[in-house]
Amino acid sequence: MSQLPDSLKMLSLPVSTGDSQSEILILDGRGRLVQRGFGPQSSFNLEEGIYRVKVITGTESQERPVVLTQSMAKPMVFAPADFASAAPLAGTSTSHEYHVAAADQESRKIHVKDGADSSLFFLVRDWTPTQSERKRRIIGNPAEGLSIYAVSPLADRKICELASSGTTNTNGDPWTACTVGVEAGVYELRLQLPTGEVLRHSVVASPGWQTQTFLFIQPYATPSGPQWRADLSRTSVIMTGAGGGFMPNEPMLRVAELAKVRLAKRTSAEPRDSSRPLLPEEMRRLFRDKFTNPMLGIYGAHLLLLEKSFDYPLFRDVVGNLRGMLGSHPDVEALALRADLLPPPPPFEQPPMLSRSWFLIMEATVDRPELVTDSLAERTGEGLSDGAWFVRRSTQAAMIDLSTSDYEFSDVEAALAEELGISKAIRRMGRVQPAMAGTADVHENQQTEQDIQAGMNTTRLRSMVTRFGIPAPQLKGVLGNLEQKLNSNPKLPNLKVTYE
Amino acid sequence: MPNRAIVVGIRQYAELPPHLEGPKNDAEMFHAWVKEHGGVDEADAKLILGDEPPPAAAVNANPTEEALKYEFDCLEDEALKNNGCAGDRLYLYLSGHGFGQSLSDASLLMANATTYRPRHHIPGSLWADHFFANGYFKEVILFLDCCRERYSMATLNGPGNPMPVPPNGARRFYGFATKYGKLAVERRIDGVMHGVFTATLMDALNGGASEEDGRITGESLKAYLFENMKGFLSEEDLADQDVAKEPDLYCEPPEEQFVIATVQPKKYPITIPLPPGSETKARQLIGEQGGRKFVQIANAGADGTLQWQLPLMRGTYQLLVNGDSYVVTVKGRGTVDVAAS
Repeated sequence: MSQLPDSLKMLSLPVSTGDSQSEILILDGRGRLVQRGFGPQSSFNLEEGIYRVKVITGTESQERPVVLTQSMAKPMVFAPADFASAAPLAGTSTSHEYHVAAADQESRKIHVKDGADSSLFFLVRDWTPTQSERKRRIIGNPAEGLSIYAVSPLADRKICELASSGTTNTNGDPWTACTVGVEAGVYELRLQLPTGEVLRHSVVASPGWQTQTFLFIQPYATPSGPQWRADLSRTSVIMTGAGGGFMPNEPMLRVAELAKVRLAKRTSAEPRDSSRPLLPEEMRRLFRDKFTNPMLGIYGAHLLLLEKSFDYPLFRDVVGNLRGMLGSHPDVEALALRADLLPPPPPFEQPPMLSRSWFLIMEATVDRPELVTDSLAERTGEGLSDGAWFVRRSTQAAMIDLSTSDYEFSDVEAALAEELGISKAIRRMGRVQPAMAGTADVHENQQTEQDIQAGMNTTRLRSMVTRFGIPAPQLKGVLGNLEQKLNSNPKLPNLKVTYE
Repeated sequence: MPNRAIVVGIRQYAELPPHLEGPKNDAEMFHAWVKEHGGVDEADAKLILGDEPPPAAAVNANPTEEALKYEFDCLEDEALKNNGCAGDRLYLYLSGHGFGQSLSDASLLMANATTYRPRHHIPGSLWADHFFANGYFKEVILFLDCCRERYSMATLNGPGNPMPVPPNGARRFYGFATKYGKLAVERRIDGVMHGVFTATLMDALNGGASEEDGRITGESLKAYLFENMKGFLSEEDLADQDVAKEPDLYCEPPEEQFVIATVQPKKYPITIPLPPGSETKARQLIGEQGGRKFVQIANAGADGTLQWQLPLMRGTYQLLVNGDSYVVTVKGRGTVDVAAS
């Protein structure tokens, strides 16, 4: 056997991290990515050289250089990173002791009793670094604009406003905590923004559990300057025993929170590094040995689905366990759509908590049009963009848009018109003067005979319902309306949508 | 086939505060670069800037998304007339206010957009993918310097038709100023306001990211941008969890074979501070050179001082002096860190 030249001898670089979900990147002297792995331990075989080891944990990264001239017997050790989390867990960078105490004490009380099966706990707080000069960023209550609703096809019922029903403390970084005793079911957390717009997010109460929702606040722009309200995009959700309480040192809560951060960064449409595993081996072992943290199970099952080499038996086990733990839960049933478990998921009357769950439901509506009830389809509103949570915005009344005033399309119709090539056809017909705004009118006396055929097969329909977040039957309805609008206007091309 | 560029910078919006300062400077800088180093002829480098001052009402403001889509249509028409190819490479550069509608895309809000009419936007990746997947260009390079706050996901002004499988050998490099959900910021750099992402990008493209042979590859550009963007941020920015510290980048693999440009590599005049007591000691520097990862690249005898001055490319080096080993890191613009190894 020939020997490798000295410069190509491979040397061992072991790296140890505090979290199994830490991602380890080995960069060379010029910052090029050489190898990658997962915590808590990975060993890399590298040629002699100068490297930088970068460890990414949640939102944080740590980096250290190493000159590798011989194999290292002992690992380079990276301590657990303090990452940002709305839940004031130990080992996060955004925790105050008085927020931990508030979570523990207030989650054991019931501030509003609306049922007895289960409870929902909310902690809304500001957080500023302790070393910074203390300047109050908000004057009002951190939970201002937040309320919890029972939602059903028949009527919505406000249960309470968190700001007036909960406990508030304005010493230090202010917080408001509120526990609501409820019957098991899906509820809606609504946030009224200073602009009047309402954001909505599902919170699920499961029998025998308390669902804890933690929220930071963020500024929202208004003409009179920024106003602070809850930030629904960075929510943390934890499930604990029915009696409440908050255990900041529980290791599984940290694991679950990191899994959520990982999920928030991933989409199935993402072209990047799709062959990389998303779950470290340690988490797979945890799932094989049965797990007791439902949120970890939900995040983990979604991550399994996003991996290129899909571990179907493990996924099926996890979803089966979740059903056993939580009973009827929209996010678990969304996952069950891919698990072939009996009974099959019934039609959804309430939206799930997670964006990925809504994606799975939308995708399935192509084959099961009855999967989203009419009532849910009507009140879903418009989904805000990607991220972990499925936050919806109440659909605003259509605004007349002067640049398309000759053919008023709703936002979704306009997007579909572009998607189907209709807008392009209009531009090509030379009917829209493109270079200048305010002159985008259709010439009065022109007529067109142009027909646009849009063939819809299952693949195309699936791609469109997931992209627009609209169930297949409703999307077909929008397409029908668009067809009608176009075909009744002689100045616009005709549209013919055909379904295979 | 020619290279083409569409470069857009919108600094002031009629009804979308706050006014920005960087996009016009940044767009002009990138426009100049594509002509000098990017292989784009003057006639093929389209520069589209926002009205200044903007009109009172957004409905009268330019450029609109229709104007940009018209430019895209022209490129597509040209491709359709030329056996499906409009050029070798397309550069798309978009700078202004923006938002993120998905993890894999961001949109530039056009001049006629308002808080209530975000539908006036151009989603960068969707259009870049359109030119890439249809093979209208062999290579597509997209840079988007704008915020990626979460807005609606439904209002996409994307191109029509399903995306086909891209032709063999097609390549793309997409660079977003921020990760999804984060804010892009602009800062005064060398006395002029620039987007922090574009300032780093221009440093990279002007030789900072060059390999020794001058090639700026997808790999070296990514490495430079990831490492150096934070160098333009203030302490306050670095502590702000909403402000992007790193860009979001994607390069079609193999990244090291995608040559973005060939530009003389930057060597910075570096002064390495030496440890006390090493005035009378010889010193040597080890690092990457000539394709080898770990070779001596410089040595010098004692000169009675505690400084060693030499020209170096960015990178991480080992300094050996007085029997001790140190790691010397040369960052973009020639800033230096020295640490015991």
